[in-house]
Amino acid sequence: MNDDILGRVEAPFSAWQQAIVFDAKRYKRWKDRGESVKTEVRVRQRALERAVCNGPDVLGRYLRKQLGIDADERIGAPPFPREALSVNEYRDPPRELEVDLGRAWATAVSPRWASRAFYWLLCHVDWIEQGRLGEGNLRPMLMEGGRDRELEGRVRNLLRRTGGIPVIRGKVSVFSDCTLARAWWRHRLSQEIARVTNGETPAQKAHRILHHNRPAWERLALLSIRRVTVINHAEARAAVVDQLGRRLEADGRIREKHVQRIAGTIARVGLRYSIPHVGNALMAEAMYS
Amino acid sequence: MNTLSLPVLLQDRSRLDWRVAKYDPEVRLLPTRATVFHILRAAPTLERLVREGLAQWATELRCPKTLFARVEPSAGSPPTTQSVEWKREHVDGDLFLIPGLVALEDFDLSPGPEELTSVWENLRLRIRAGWWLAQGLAFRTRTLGQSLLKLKLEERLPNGQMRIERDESADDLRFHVHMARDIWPERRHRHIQVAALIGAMGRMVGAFESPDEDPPVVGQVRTRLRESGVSDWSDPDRFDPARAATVIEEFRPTPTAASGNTRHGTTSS
Repeated sequence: MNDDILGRVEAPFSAWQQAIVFDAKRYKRWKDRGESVKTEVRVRQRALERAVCNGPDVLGRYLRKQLGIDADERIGAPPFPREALSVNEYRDPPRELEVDLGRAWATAVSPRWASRAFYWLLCHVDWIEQGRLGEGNLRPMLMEGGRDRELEGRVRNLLRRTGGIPVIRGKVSVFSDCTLARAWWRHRLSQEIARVTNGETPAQKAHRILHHNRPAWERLALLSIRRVTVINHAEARAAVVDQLGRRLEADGRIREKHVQRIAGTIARVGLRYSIPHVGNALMAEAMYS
Repeated sequence: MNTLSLPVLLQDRSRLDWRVAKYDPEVRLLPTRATVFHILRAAPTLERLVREGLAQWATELRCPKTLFARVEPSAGSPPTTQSVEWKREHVDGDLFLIPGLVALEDFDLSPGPEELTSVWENLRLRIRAGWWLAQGLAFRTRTLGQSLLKLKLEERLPNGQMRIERDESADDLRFHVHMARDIWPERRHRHIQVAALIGAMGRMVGAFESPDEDPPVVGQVRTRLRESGVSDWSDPDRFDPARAATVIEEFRPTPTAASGNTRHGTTSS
């Protein structure tokens, strides 16, 4: 990835996101002002939708302009491992595809950039220009689905899928909303779990559990970045995934509340214990007490 | 399992298990490494555990934004001076370093007379591997002021004015400080930033009411206030935003012309 671009694109990215979504909560007390801002935002949203409908070249130019990147500047996103993705593959990648993507980008992408929404948007610009997404028809891929009856909903769909929408959803957005970022993170974490458990929890099994249910994944990501940061020890994450796997075997499903409960147990242990030093026996004792 | 049922020596003295022992680590931070000085006083039993190989100095690193955490054991000589390094591409935003002394295996703790407070008398103290026998505060690679404020130019704001709003999209506590064009060039001036921090603290009442669920920066603010004996926002009658802000980043007298530069702020835009 072009370091010069990475170093200067965050501010324009943030400004663009703020300018292109209408956050009604901010204008609860100033309804008139809210209406006038909404009108301005709507104009910008229409311009984005037009760019999407006019194909990859126009959308690429539009996004470059918003991010302050010249038309001839090389972005240098990691190589895309597939010829192209279908709409369904892109919007909800199956597990095998996530593994392929994660493996292809394992060393090319670092956690530092993978945790930033603008990094994934930059990748999208490059891949869109290369024709790797949407088979020429980008609207269903980037804007449709979910709450797509309103223009606001379609624009938010695009922002979420191409990197996340941190101005509205916070840091968890990149881990949860951007399907390609999500693929990279889940592949990375499942490899880490396999390594730390010496293969006792194979990467494939860990990935299956992390991939099982999107709200549960989002809850795990949210707790990891915000409230229960001790989960980020590979040993702790392996214990969480092991417990979720048992739940999946017993009930056939994993729920957000299961993630919350297990993370709470790990948090209590992590308050006074160094997680990597804690033996399996003590961890099991904590889980079942 | 009750994870809080053993003695621990905390830097902030919020647990009084040890009568006179003190743990006051110092951390010197650089962009991708740190030197940690584990400073232990009046704790012969803990020192003996290190000598006997039952406990080891270590530093925990956590970077929530990149889902990164690890515990780095001290390999230094002497082991009380620890060098910790991390890769730049593994971290982003706040990196927390938490120094401490960790038990390496299960053993019975046998403190000398009068070392522990009386609540521990006549109890068998079975320490489990991984227990933090001593734990420091979280040191961070950014100052609290830097984490709390994000400065922004607002063209439409009349000259000389500033406005502050909570960044609702941030997962942790952060404020946007919007500044008029004429004062924007002064944004690195400490007095401007402390003024912004006072305004920010004024917005804390009613937010983050449950200390058990504090995100990292909120927890840091609360700890800093508690250590200074200053009430936090959970007690609105006694909470003083100006006092709280100047505990986090104190005003400093403006240097005279002879002493040179007056721009020495706490954060950047």
